[in-house]
Amino acid sequence: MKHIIIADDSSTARMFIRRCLEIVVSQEAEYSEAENGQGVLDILEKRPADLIVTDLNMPVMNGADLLKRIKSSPKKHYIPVIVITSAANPEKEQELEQLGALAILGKPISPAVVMPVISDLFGEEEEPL
Amino acid sequence: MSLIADLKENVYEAVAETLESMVFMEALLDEPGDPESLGPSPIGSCIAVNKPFEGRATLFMSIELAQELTMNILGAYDEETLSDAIVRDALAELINTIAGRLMAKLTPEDQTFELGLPEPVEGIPRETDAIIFYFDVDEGRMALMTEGGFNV
Repeated sequence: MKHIIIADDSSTARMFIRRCLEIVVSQEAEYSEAENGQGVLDILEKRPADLIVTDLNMPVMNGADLLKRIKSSPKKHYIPVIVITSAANPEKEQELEQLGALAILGKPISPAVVMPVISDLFGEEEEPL
Repeated sequence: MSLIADLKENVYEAVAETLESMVFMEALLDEPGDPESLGPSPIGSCIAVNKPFEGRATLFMSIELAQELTMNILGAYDEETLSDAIVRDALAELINTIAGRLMAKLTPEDQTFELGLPEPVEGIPRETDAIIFYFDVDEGRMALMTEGGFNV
């Protein structure tokens, strides 16, 4: 079963992201939630993850710092990270891609936007939504 | 197109796109109005823009409209289980998303922009130099106020 971690300081955003993922991830998946990047690292101390979906702008530890920590870790660098942010534009996307983000999606997301990324990652069959 | 007209068009698009995608409702830009039209005690959420200019965007609406939008976003709640904290969090996420969409439209592609974290606001200022855009949403009314660098 896939383990997906969702990080966002807004509970509304976490729920919205989870609903989108539940629609597009056809395999059984378990979801964990964190309010910031440090929360993600705390979860990873206890169990591995197959995907991290993170906001960028969060208190305590933001998404960019989380991305750097993940990609510089010998044990965690393999975990794909999708950044979902209200602060996306081409220049910011380039910065995050260079840090190792798998994809950068601008808020608000939708199942149609998330589907291609998840399909490539988990080998899901794309079905019309 | 004048700067204000340009801002108005971008504000409308940012609000309309966000409400359509998150709340599944249509937002119609209305004529300039009176803060009283938002009801006796509107609630709000503001977010600062830190880069490439300093500014602030604030979203105001009645508590009833905020509850309705929150239920649309979350899908699973009814009014009785909808706490004030949940409604305010939804409002914060709305202004966060609207401001991000707006800044993406206003910022050149070769530059980045930086937003702060949303903060709650009580009451809409009655006298202000800010620009306030009013929207009709379903049977409610909301306002987006822009200040600082937005309006230069």
